[in-house]
Amino acid sequence: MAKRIAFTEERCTNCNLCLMYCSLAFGEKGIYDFRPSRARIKVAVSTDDTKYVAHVCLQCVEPACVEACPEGALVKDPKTGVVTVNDDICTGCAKCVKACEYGCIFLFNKVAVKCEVCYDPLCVRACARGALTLIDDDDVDEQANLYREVRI
Amino acid sequence: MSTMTGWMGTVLRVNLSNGTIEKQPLDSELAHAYVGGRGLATKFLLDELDLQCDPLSPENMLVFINGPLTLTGAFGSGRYMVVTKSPLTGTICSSNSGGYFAASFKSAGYDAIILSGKSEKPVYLWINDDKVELRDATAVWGKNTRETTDLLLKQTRKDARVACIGPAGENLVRYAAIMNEDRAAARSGVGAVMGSKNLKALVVRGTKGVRVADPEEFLRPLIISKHIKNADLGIALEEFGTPLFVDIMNANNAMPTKNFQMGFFEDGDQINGAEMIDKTLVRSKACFGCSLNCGRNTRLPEDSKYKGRGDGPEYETIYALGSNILVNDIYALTKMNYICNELGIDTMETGSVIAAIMELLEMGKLSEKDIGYSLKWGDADATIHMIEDIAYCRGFGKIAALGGKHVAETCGEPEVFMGSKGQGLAGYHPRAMVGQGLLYATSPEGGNHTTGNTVNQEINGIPEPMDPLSAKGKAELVIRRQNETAFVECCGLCVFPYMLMDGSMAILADLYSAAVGKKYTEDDIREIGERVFNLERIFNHRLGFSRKDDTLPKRLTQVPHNEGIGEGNVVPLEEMLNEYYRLRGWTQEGVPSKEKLKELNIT
Repeated sequence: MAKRIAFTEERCTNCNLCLMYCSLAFGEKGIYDFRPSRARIKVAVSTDDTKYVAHVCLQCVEPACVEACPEGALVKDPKTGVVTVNDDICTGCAKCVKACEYGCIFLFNKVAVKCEVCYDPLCVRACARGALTLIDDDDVDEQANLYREVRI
Repeated sequence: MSTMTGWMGTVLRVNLSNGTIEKQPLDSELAHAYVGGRGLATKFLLDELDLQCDPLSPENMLVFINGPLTLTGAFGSGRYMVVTKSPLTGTICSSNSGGYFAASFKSAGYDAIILSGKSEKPVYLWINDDKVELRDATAVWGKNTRETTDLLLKQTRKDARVACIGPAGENLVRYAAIMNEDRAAARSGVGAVMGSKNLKALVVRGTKGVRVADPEEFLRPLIISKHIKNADLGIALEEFGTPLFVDIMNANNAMPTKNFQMGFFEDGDQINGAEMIDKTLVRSKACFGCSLNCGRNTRLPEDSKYKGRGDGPEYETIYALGSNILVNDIYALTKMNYICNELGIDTMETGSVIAAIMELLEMGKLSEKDIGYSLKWGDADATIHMIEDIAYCRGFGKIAALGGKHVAETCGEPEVFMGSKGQGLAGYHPRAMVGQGLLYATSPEGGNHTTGNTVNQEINGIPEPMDPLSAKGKAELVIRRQNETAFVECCGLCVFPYMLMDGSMAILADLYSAAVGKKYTEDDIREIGERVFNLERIFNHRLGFSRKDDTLPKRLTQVPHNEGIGEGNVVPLEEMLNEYYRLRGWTQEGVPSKEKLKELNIT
């Protein structure tokens, strides 16, 4: 079982507050700012403008990103199931970004960034409609299909 | 890097005549005095613009501007404004828009973009963070706003955002809009000023962040936002969007109908929010940084006579192209909205102008021959024809493109145009809510719905019931609403969330302080709003505007309201104006006194 952020498409309004607050949670060098480009969550809109899809890591059972990393910078925690990036080791080669078929891992300042499931995540608190929830399960099929359909 | 917080600290200047692009630091003292948005932009214009200039000449300046709370966790933080001398009213004007453009604009690192001069050839401005260039726009000149957006994203990057004009702006229609993602900086002809500079679009991509002095304070909105959403109006706005106001205005006899001849539209339930849910709504949608979710993602069904998809219509469009010209078909109304957005023309002003034309036709002051076709009350297809004629300045559209005031005066019936200072009124009938009338008359750019409205107080009775028909207390109310709204807009925020919150100004003062790193109280920010409103008044005063221009059409001040609530009522404008000027600290001619300007530190 993995802790992860679940996403319910019907409740999303494309307000982007999740990624705004995600970016605030990861301020660098003590400087806190609202910076969407740093966020570990991004919203995609379907080409016909009928679906808003927040891409956030599914914490896969067999993560392709971990497999793809030549440096061993990505690790899946056997206890929590959460996949984390060791940014001291990451070289920013972007192989993980290409390997993730769900579009849930990003490059920021030449380092891979992805959702590592915060304690009391700000993205979940920022989502006024409850489209994002913190759960503990591996039943990711529906969300995975949505990510394949509406890409970043 | 700038040490400022809230502000990005950089102003971008583009001279379109010689193609020079310059970055300047934002003066911190000026920023604290005038904040951003309308305030800071008006200050730039007052300091630098030849006020007497022709608004459509190269001398005019066009300012795109956000605010210190844009792209922060403050409610409704996805707005930008376009400020210039209006070709419709000849006054200062500020037109604002939501959507996603503002967030990209600010994250590229700029508080404001000041455009001056005129390019020889059509160009667009491509801003990719620090990299800024003017590019040839010949290929998109003539294209509508959606085609332009798609093509320019292909020429730049798909993660950029576009604000552009359509054919109406290119053809200098005096009420052409600037469009971004089906949202519009619609009013006062800002799109025509852009067109007069041969500037087709701004394309922006940004990766920078907005620093705030006290990030923890920004965790508070996460708690408060639940309260806003749970307020009655918050729930209703989410479900029905702004078309909700059709029901509120109709129930209070304040829904402008048939060019303001009436305040009740009997077919209101065919063009309201519930009808849209039933017939056109795909889903509700938000602007960047707002949890209110009042936007309408809509689509015309396959079997409808009209086709297409897009956003809206919003309430103001429903009034202007619906009840005010007696169109009762939500499909036609939705199509008109899409067409206006694609052509880049203000739906509100278009409705005002067409309502005046329809009445002039009915009076026999215009004939079908003048127009070229029949244009009767409620005729949606003829209205669509006229919208296109206006945008392309064809036939009678050439005259209509100069504005409703021009049309009515040309026909010798100036009172038929329902506007103030040459701009059409918004969708709140002043005979049934007289404070709104005072607000229109004293707004810097005439009839307008964004320099404050009085719906919540006069109609919804929040925080306490108020007689909408009486002059009592209205001057004070209007001044408060104008000042508060000015501050909200200077911050780069949407006014809606702040309409819904009790004590919203206290919360806003806290968030503003937390962003910019200096303590401001509720009184302080009201004073800033007052300073900005007075500054706009000074701009207009220098151009000769005074009490004689703070007017409403006689239909509102002399012809009694016809039925239901407000029957027999007129707007007691002169009585309210006397009190308004006194409370504002202006002379009875409507000119800010020296003492007032000194008190507000306006030099």
